[in-house]
Amino acid sequence: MNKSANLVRPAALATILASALMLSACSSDDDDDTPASASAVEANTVLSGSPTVADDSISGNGSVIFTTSLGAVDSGRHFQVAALLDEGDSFTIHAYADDQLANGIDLVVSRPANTPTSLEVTVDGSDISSAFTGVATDQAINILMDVHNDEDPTHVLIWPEGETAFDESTTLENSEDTGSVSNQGAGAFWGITLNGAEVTAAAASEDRFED
Amino acid sequence: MPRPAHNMPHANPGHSPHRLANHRPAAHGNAKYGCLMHGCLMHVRVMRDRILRARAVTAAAVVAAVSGLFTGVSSASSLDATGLQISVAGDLVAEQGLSSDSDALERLSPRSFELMFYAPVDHRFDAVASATAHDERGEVFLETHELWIGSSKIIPRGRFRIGQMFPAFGRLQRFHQHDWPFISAPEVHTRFFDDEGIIDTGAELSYLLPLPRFAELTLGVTSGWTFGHTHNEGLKPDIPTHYARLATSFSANKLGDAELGFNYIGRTSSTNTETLTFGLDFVAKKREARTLKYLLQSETWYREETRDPGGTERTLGGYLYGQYGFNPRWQLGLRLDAFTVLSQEDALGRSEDNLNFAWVPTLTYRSSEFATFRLAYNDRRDSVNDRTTDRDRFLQFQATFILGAHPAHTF
Repeated sequence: MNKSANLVRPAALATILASALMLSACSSDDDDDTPASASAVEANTVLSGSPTVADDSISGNGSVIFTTSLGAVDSGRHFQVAALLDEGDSFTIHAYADDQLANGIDLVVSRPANTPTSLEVTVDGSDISSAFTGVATDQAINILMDVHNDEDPTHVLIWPEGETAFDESTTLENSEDTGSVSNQGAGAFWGITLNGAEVTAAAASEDRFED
Repeated sequence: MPRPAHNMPHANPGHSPHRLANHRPAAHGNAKYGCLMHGCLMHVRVMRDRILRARAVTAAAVVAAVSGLFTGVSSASSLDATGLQISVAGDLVAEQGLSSDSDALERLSPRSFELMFYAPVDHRFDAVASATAHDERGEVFLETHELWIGSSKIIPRGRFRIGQMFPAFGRLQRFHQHDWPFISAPEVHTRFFDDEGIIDTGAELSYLLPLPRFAELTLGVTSGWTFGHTHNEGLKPDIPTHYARLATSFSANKLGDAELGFNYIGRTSSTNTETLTFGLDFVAKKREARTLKYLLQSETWYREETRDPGGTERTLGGYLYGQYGFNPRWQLGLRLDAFTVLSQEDALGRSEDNLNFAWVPTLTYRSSEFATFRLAYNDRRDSVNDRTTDRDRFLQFQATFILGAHPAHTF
């Protein structure tokens, strides 16, 4: 009696659990809301300068801060930014910055007028240009970057355009290996500062790589 | 297995509040070692000889155990002559995503492999040494988990330990991951204390308060160079990690016996980030013969983190886990998790109502106390202003096993 009960009960349990899973699976992703912004550039506010802001691009000179926060300061996010640079142009991604885009982790991408076929890139003040050798500068520069501000110092990983295997082995830059980042972002906001560049995509989402 | 900080049979006579309530460290010590001078000298000599013999056997045992590892032979060993206990624990986890962009690692991976030694060092001290290999996305990290020496025989009503340890606060933090009643950590634990828990070097004292009911106060200070997940040695903090836990127990009627803990953890980092964390942990258990009939476990944590510059961030999270045992082998549980950033605002200064919520039904099969298999379904949602920003659904399977010694269960 006891033996059969012991067998029946687990079977019932498994059935209940499987049913719950099937019900949940039926709900699928239909109830997943769309991301915060369906457009290529998230909703933003001009913080300084006079950049030209459209639904799908930001250009000119100045800074914009994206309206939706990154959540907790102590968290990690993935940033996808695409930008066109003429000779002498640059842009800066401020991640985990305060509401004035200060005290964050900055990635600065420049196309120097005197060497327009190469990029100068710094993260948190450290030169990581060598990681971007070979990146075509006359086309859109696509930055795929994880910023893990829940680590101290902040862990930054940058992948090449088109990368889908977001792993440490596929990075262009991994701050944990190069030691390029020594600080931690102090805020929960992000934004972009433009110096002539045209940003055609800017979105933050869940971080792609988990330590 | 529970972390041996509180359950080494030789270090502490069990962590059960009821057992601790009857614990008399001083009396125990006096009864065993109280004697006249001559007798003491004789006793010391005998002890010295025993210890020397024990160490020789211990060394041989360690060599045998390690060589056993490399030859594929079980290293499990319990050496009665020395009191040395050796335990090998394996923790395998597989995940299968059910949503299109799930973060689930869709493979079976060895989450951790732990080798632990614990024993009395001499008539006063006990020690623990454990090393764990963690698999992090295919890369294996071997690290010292615990390396401490302590005693429950020197300070009346108290016990202490010095070294590297899992500081004894909260509930999950005090247990090895493979001995949790569910597979993975709730969001609040991951955010505040990493996936498994905080490991640090320092000193900790637990003192049984002279009250009519069980009440134990634990105080600790650890280096605080790091706090949470890291692969570097960190930086010297302005104020090291310090913590306190006050625990008491009581009868919870139908739920059996219960333990309640009040916790505080503080630290100020090298970059002047001040972290204050307050928490409440609760567990109630009712056993019927060998069946854990009911288990109710929860932790609630509140944290204030002040950065200069950067302001103060306030976060709150917790979980509630209820489990019903059908028999000694089968249990079904459900965990509800919630986490929110109370101070979250958008760039325009408007409040962002946010919630990370998960429900995790878990089915457990225990072949014995040495082998456990689990299947869990995870449904996690992030929402901001009532809009779902992320959802992840995945299945988890876990197999854990313990070879060799198995420390007494903590309540």
